[in-house]
Amino acid sequence: MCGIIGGIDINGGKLNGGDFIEAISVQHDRGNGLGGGFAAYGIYPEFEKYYALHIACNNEQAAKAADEYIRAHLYVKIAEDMPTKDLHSIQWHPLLKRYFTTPGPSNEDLKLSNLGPSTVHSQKGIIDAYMKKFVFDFNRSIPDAFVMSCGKNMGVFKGVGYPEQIGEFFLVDRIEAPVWMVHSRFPTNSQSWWGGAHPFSLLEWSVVHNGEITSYGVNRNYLEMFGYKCMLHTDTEVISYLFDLLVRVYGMSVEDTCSVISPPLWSEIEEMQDESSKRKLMYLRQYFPQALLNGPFAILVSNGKEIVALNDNLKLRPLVAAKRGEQYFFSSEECSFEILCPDREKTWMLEGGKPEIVRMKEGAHV
Amino acid sequence: MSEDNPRPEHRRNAGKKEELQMDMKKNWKWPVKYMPVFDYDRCTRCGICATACTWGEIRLVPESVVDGKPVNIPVANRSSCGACHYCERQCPEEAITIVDTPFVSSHRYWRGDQKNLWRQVDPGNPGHVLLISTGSDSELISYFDHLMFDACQVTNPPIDPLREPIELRTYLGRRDFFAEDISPLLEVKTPILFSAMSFGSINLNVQIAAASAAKEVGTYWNTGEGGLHKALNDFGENTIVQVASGRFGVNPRFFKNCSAVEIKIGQGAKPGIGGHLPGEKVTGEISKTRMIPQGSDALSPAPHHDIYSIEDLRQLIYAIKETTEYSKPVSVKVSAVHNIAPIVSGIARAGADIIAIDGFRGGTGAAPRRIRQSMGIPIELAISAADRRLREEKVRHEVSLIAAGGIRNSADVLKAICLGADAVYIGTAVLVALGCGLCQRCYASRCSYGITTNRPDLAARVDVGLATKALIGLLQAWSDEIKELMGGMGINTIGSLVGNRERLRGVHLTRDELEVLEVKQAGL
Repeated sequence: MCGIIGGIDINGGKLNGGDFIEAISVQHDRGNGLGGGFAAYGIYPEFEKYYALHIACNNEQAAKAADEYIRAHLYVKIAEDMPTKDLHSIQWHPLLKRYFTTPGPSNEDLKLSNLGPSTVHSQKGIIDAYMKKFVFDFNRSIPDAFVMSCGKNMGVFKGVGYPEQIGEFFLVDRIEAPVWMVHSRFPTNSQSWWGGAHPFSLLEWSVVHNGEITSYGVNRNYLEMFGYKCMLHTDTEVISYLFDLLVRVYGMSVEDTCSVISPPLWSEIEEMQDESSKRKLMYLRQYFPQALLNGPFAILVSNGKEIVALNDNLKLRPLVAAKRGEQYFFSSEECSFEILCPDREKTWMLEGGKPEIVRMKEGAHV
Repeated sequence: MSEDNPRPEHRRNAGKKEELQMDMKKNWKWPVKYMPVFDYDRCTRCGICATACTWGEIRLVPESVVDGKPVNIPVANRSSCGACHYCERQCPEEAITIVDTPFVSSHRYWRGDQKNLWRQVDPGNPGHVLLISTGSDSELISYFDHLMFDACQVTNPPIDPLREPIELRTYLGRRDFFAEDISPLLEVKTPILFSAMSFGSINLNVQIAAASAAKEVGTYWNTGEGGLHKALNDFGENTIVQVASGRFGVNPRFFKNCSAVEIKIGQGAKPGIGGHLPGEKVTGEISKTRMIPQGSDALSPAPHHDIYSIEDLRQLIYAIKETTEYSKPVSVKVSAVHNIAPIVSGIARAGADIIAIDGFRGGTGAAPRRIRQSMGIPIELAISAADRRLREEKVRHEVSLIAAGGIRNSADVLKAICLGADAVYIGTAVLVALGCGLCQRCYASRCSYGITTNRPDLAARVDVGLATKALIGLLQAWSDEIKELMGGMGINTIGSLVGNRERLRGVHLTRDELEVLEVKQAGL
């Protein structure tokens, strides 16, 4: 059991982090204090061209190694400590660093042949592919440090504790952002550690997840063929990698990606009237059985431009949505909407297997 | 006992000491292992058992005369019973019990081999290779028996297959997202296919039953290497035809009336060994279907004479694809051998769409006993190693794997799938479903059940209607059991289990075994 919340203003208007802290705190029983976290988009507009690395290091030694590793592989614009607040409730925390970087310093790094097994098909994809490989190499090379997030103009703030404590610790109430992803954790199939808290993030993708992925073994085997390394001891990371693979590498639309991840039943596809969508769904299910997520889940996925809300097709986890003007909210429980949007005009329950995708308006600046 | 009845031989000789000579020929006498025991109180002397037995184990001995008609009593010859249990099952009075009389030797190490050696050197028929049928009955462990499934508790709800849909449908073939043309895929409604059994090794009645059941349930049957009999033309949508080293019956009709073509390189029971259907069995229909003269031996050479390495296989795969205008997937079947992982990887790169791996427990119509008992490796290890290698080479998602050889029940099916198979072939299970008593003498071609024989009087013992029902029952029962297992694991589509070792744990296996299976020790 976990609690998740997402919020987006499709005009790019700002939503306050403090509201999300309060909104997740009313879902207190959905977590057990072993993990909480926030992802916020559009928070580093002054450095929007740089990949923002949020790094957690278990000790000084790891922090030193991490710093050397980053500087050896990336151009570093700014390196700093993350702003945090000392709290009684957070008795221990890793050293938290923030880097604004861009690939370099050596062009050698960017050669396709040095990117390892990947499926880069465009020049544009090379830099992203390089960053992806950097993150996996970093996590593997420095066991006591891990990358919390590495996207541009976004960041993940997470750790072990109740989400309201984590929010206070990272001073999330001072952050304004048009897109928010929030998580409260009740771990059931893996140990709790700072890297295991949600949101999970790779490049611009972040995921919050309530559920258990019973197809994890299949998804992991599939992703590892494309150079993804599942090292965070939890099933949720495969979701962000699947979105990265299907959308960024394969160039599929977010809608089609949802059809791959949580497709209709074969019998439902067969009954479809529209021949072209029937053929397409058939094709997607036939070609990507290893990317299908099985088991009970409610997930929110975002890349800063849209939020995708998706349930397993049996609807075994709660997920409810609300709309207020140009703002949309998703939550495990309706009670959070009483904090976020008590004056909402519409509240509805998501159907199993039917994604809800809310996009920023054209031209809205994140 | 009536006066007409002659006294048994040994009683007549009693007391005649000068005639008691030893006979060395008896040194090689095949010791009695099984025999029918008759309950003469129940027996009505109807004599059906003597007709039922095709092995010459039961003879009828005159017992008395009633109303001028002789009454005969069945007696065991103690010579040729193989425990097929056909007489026992056919007896209307249930008056027969087959007993196992273990041959006792004081030397434990030699126990099994002693009698096999006698049979090989018997001066009546000396120096012959021992033949045997069906899959290996070796006492090596079954890895299937040491793997346990996971189940949902608390954190994850199990799914009740009676309330929620659980999908077994899967597609076999090549999937290349970046290819211009979409490759043909085989739609399989349940991940269980009937393995290759040729017309010749089994008879047409059995093939018709298999084809009908496959059609009804939405899966496939495989012609084996004996060609496609005309009577089966209409089952093309559920037929996989097989091209083996003998190239029997390979003609345009054969390629037209099928959904996929399988190139048989090897068979689990006899890797590296060809086949031999003796001329006397090549009768009218078999000769026509195989396209060879009546009475000529049907020889399948050990290698294909045009395949001496992987590049030759590639040419045959593409020759078949050209012939079928790229409309049908091409499968390649190989035995599970030590080097299976690189072999499978080579086959995938040679252009095969489906790769079938047959483990050492896989069945056969006839194989040398030594080959069957000691060549090849278990399918559990082979499929896992192949799946891993294809993943390492980043092509696993592009081809399909079929596991074969030793699948006895629905749990074995699902375990093979969790170890990396997309679907499984079953062969021996098909025969058992038709009643087969597993006496392992298919090579003799006088199967009392009428399954592995083409003698018309015996083949008629298989009723196509009943056999079809039994095979549909097999597929349905196993599919329902698989759904129960999947529901317990909280998985509602079979694709989410293909290669999903997370849902398995090993018990009583060594670290090396667990590593090859990529399965964690139970408790971890």
